[in-house]
Amino acid sequence: MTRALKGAGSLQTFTSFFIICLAILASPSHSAPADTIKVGIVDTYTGPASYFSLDVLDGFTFAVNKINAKGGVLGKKIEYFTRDDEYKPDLSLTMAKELILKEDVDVLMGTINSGSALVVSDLAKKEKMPFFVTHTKISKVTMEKGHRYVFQMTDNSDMAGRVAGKVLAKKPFLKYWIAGDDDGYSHDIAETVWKNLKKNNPKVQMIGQSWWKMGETDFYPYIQQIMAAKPDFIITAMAAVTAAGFPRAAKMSGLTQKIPYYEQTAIEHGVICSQGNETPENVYGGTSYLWYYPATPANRTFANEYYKQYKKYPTESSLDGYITAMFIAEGFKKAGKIDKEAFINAIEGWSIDSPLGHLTIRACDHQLGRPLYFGVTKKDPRFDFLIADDIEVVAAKDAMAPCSQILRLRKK
Amino acid sequence: MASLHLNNTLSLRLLTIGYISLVCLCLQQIPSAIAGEHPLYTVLILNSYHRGYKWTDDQNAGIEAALKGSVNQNQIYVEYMDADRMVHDEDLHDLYLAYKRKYRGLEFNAVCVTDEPALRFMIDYGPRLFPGTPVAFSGIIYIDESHLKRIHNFTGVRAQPDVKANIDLILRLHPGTKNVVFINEATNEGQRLHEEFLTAMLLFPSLTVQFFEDVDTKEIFRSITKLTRDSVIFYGVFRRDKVGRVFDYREIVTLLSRNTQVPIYSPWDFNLGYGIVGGAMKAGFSQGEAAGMQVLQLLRGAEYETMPEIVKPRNQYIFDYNQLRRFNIGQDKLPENSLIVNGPETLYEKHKNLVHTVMAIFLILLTIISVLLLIIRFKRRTENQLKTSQEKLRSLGRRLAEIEEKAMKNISRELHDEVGQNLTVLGVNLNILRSIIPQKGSDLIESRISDSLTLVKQTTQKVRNLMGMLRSPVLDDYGLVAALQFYSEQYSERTGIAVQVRGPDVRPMIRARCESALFRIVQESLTNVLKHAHATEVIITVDVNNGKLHLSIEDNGQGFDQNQFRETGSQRGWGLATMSERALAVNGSFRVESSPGFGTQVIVEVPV
Repeated sequence: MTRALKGAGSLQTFTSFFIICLAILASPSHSAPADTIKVGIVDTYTGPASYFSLDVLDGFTFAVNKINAKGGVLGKKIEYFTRDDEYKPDLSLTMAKELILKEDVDVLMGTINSGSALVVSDLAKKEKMPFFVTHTKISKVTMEKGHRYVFQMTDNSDMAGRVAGKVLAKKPFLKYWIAGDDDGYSHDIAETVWKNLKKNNPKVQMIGQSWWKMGETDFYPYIQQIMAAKPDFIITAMAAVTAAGFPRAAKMSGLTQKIPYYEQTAIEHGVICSQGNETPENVYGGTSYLWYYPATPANRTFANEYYKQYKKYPTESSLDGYITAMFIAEGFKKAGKIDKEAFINAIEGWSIDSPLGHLTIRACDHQLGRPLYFGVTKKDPRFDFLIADDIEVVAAKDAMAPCSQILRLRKK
Repeated sequence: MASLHLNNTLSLRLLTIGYISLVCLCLQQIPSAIAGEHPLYTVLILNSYHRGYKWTDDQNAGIEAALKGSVNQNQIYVEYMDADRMVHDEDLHDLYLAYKRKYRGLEFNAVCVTDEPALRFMIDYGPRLFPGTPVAFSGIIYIDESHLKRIHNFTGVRAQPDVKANIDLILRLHPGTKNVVFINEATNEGQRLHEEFLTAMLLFPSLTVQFFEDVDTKEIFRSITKLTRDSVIFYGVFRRDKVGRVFDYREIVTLLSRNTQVPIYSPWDFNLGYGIVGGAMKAGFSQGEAAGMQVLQLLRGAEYETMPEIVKPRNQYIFDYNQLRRFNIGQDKLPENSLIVNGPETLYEKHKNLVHTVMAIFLILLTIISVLLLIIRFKRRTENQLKTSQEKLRSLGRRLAEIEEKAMKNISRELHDEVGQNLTVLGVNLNILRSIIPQKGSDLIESRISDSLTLVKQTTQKVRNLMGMLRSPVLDDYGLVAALQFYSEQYSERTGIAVQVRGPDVRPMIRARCESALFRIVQESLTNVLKHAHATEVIITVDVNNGKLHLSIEDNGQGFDQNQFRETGSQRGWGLATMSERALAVNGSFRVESSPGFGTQVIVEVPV
């Protein structure tokens, strides 16, 4: 409510009040329908994490330009607003609020920080605002903490863990060591991989664990400890932004030549590029997108067009952004109006065409079903970066937790 | 001796420093010991809100600062009601029951409450929870003092905002202001501020006012983004909007500041640092400190039961440096005694701990360097004294050598001129006597004369040898090399050790004093060879080269371990020391090279 007062009890008070009320009511942004569909993006655009967030933005922009070039959605162009959260969850929340309060966005999307994703998801629930989680793979956001307004557009750590457990179980390794960042996210990944590995191959043994503080830079003491224990295989779990140091140390110390290891996103093109020439060969890992595999016409066309525009190959993050934009457009088109609830109803269980074929947002948990690729890093004389070899594809339905499990988790 | 004295002095100084440090350490402990003698007061601080809320934290810090030294830290109990997050009225009753259980058997000497919810809680539940315990409050915007007087044992500090002072300040810093936008929440506290604001604004009839209270935050944003330069925002507190959005106090101020082009003022200091320009403020720390002082009065005056007056602290003008710059407000325009926060940190402020550490290390190093310099100074002085003594000694040595040389020369001359001449005459006379004695004389006389002549001849030879030892006449007449050859022949005859002298044919142009010194060194060396070397051959070399005379006496004897020789400080060292001194006396150098089984070489160099 807005009131105006000039002096106390004077006629001018009421005049001013009336004028201000009129002015506010006449404000074009107050109740007049917007000419655009507004998307608010909260993500990290400063620091090391921005490497991935900018790919998300590029992928999103790539799609939005295409959509807008074709006349937009329901006659409205897609407009987007970005806010830098500096990789700080409290700032993500503030910036998300700003996007809602000031920019009056219709949809929120982001972010690379798992903590940020959770707090913004909570805000989205309160604000009844659709929120598309891009890049971060925290599974809680659609599993335990999932709700009507949140959508996970990339694979989550539970899916990656299931796939890794399934594939590794077929390998000849029996003695395992687990190592990673000592935070909840990394413990979750390691636990999921181990649980699924043990389930698929009960003979495997865990002979030790190393957990270093988040942001650790000196990995040599841990590597020495691991090498001394002589495991057959190492399962590592690290946040993308802190995962650069370990491969470098593993390469320099000769660990990778002696003991193969798994890192959740090791074969992801964006992760490999972010680590420069430091990525070692013979590291097992997964991703939900490879621009060179499968070499279908759709994927080739997407990668080629993307390369022409940005002079770089699309990464998993690029595809996250791209698919998110496509779903936003298709969702509003299907809803037939710019209405958040209608939009959510429209995209629940809805599929779109993508470079990877048909992708569906599962209705029960709002997790996008994406096939997962598991492989090992390898040099290729055609490129100055490593690519994935020995690729194994796991279909989305085989990687995702069953809906009954999700619902059980949410009830807890 | 000097060194010993120095060590004693240093030890004494170190002991003194250690003693002073110990005394200081003991003195430091005295206040805490005295504090421990205070009665054991127990105080409860009951906060309305949560830990981490700056206003609450500042008040707590103020209270604890006031109580420090009078109430032991571990006797201060702190509770946070977190009233903002309480939804139901029965929550307060549950809290009362929880406190009752928790603090049963514990009697507080005073309770300090921060902000209104905790005060209301104490008014409602205090008499049952802590009967008779005096209560001091802080952070209360509005309180009915007459109501309080009816309740026993309550006093405190009011945080009533001074709206008029803030509007005066706004008009002073922004004279063109025509519109004041008032953003405030619709809580009890917000309503108090609203009333204060209304009352104050009656004094500024020329100003237009816009209220944003109990509204959807979107409305605020729609408005503040379009405010013109003649507007100013006066911000109270806005933690919850009409549609139920909850904001952290930092978050909402940040959002408001980011989305408006006009300055924001506030009467509360906890809003500073997130986009507020400043204001005539009530500071949380001052509130807490004043309440803490009242608690102290309560504790000390408990016997005579007089309650302190309710305090109304003065405004503090506090400003954010960054916002002053943003709105181009000169510091000269600010009221006197204004405090500016968030100013650019000096290098010192930025790295205060590091600077202190470096300074401490620097001081320690400076002390160590001073001590070392002192030691070096003492050492140098001692060395100079030693050098002077050595110079004197050397001078005396030179003088002694000169006197010795002179005395030997005199004795040699006397032996030559007197004894030698007399012996010659004696010999001549004995020969004359033999010639004049008849051929067929006594055999006995002949025999005696022959003995005497032999004796004279032997004595003459001994005198000559002695003269040669004392002062070689050859040295004076033919120079060093000839003298050495002559002496060596005598030496070889006497000792059976073969001596070979090698030297230039031309007599080197060196001073007589120098020749004497070198000759004596050779004499001493040959004596050493005889005594210690067990040598069969000695080579003496004299060579002049590059303005220097090089003298070498080298034997093929048993040699010796120079290190062992130095360590044992053998008596044999006197001979070497004498030789060295003789060389030094003529500005020369002296060294000995030897090792067991490989002979010994004495090397002397003197300038020519």
